[in-house]
Amino acid sequence: MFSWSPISPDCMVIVFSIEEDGKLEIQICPPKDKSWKTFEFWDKYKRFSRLQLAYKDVFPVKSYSRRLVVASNVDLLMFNPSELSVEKVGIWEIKISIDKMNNAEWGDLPKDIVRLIMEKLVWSDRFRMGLLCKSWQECIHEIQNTHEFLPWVMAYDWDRWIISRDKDQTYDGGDSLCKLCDPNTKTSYIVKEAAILKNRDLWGASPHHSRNGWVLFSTSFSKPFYVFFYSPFTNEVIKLPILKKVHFQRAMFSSSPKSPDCMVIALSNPEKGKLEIQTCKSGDKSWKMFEFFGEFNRFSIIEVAYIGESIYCIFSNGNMGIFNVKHEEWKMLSERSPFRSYDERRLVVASNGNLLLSNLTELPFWRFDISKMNWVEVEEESMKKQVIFNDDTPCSMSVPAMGNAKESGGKLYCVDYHCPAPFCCFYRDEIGTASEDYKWMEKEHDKILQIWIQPPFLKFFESF
Amino acid sequence: MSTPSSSVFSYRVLKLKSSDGEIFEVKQTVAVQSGVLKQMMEDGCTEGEIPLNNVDSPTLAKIIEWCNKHHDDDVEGRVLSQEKEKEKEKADMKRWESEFIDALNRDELYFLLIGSNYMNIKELLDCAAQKVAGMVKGKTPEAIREMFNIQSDFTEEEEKAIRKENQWAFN
Repeated sequence: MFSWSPISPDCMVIVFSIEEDGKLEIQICPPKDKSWKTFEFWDKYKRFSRLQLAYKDVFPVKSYSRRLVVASNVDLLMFNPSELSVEKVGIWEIKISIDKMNNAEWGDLPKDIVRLIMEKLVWSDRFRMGLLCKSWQECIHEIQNTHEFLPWVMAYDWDRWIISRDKDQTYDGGDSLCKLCDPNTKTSYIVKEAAILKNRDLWGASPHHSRNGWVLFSTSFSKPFYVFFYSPFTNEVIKLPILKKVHFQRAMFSSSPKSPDCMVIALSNPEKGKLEIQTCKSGDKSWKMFEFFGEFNRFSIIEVAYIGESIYCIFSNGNMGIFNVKHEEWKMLSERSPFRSYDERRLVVASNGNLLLSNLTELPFWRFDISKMNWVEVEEESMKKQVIFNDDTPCSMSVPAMGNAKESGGKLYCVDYHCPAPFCCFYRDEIGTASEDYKWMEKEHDKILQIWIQPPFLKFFESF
Repeated sequence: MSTPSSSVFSYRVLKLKSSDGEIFEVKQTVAVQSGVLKQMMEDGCTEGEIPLNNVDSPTLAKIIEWCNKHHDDDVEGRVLSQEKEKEKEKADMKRWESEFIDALNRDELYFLLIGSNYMNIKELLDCAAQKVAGMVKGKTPEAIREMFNIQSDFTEEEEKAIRKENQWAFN
């Protein structure tokens, strides 16, 4: 027998034969395979005889999904092709499966249909649907993302906090606002009881780096100075240990703080020929301090980017250095930044394993060739293959111009405290109007802090 | 032997047997909308009754009604004189589709999903899935659970953890 249309990639041909000595032989041939696989099962119960076979894959009966039911004259055996095992089940189960055919059992809806339904819904509806049963929950994670490339916006608001704080010292942040804005469906979601706004200790924190749905913040208004992660998706705050040296210039992290190998790196401006770098790994009780000595003079760190396992630093005099996080090594480079003057607005982007640099007023963009350790001009054509997103964090992000970001290829989207919605720039400093993808946000709020954020459930972002 | 002309071909019928044993006769030109039947026709194995073990007779009747309504679109050489006419026809079809789907009760809709998936009729499956999506949209998990009568197989802790993981979506 065969499972389904032979043109389908899932089609499996299965041949059963019973030997005289009671051996059940099952041969399987998936369509793309060149040879048959044979599995032998010895009759533990009775002789396999008078076999009745039914491929249950297409039946809407969950317990039988992707299994074969082999009924001998007394026993009902199940062969599971994925686990390659035979197990005995009672004959009565056949009745159940037949009965079930007559009633709509939505929970047993084949997964590809559930996925098809989910693909027609926004993410919040998908998550609500996924809460119904395990099989639906699994479907959420199987949705292929071929369309959603534009990052979301986390918008939040300290201002109301300040006003209310003066009036009422017991203010709990209930009036402040934290929102998630999805450009794909042009929907915004309010994060209720947003932990970042409710927690007085975290008031006025500034963002440093946004990655995988998490934002790294630090506070500097009241002691102790906290460094912490916030995720508007889970509404969680993860506080890091207190820094050894509390004032730092730039901070970045490598992956979701929930992953065991997440590294947080804080760099301070060099003082008296000494550069201090502090690192903290997931679960660490304290920060590790590294000191590197060199001719840093009085130059400050202007730009940083976290690529692979290294932090690339650009100093105000154009010098460059690399901190290898894994090997805990610092190295100054002979290559210097193509921009010597840092009076102008500038932009550094970690893009798909590349470091891009622009002074935003003129083309070209520069790309740092990591294998040759030098800067090369980026052609305009290749800039059009991506979209760059800039915000108040020192690190900009980039996405490929595909799916819903296709029309935006070669553009630069900025969010700014003074603008109600992200606006779009073109290189050569042409400031455009609000982009269509984010323009709807103008109605949502005014004067609000905004950060680009990558939803952790969009599969694409993990590999980029 | 001469090859049959297309007009002869179009009058050939397939005999479809529903899971409860009822026989339905369907023109090949109509049946071609089903990916499975199309494949069988190409393979030349449509002699006799074709058993559709996963589709009962009320559902199969619905599916055939849909296919009969839609098969005109696929007839070769059919030219619509005006662009406007085309658009009107499209709009009429959309209206017919939504009326067709809206008239189904929840059980019927379920079996239509199963049946159209089984027979691989993409447009119908898509339309039915869209209907379900519309029913789910904006509803709380509790309301969806009640609508579809699904028993949860999560423990309390598991459900709590899932809610926490995507708290924003449950606000």
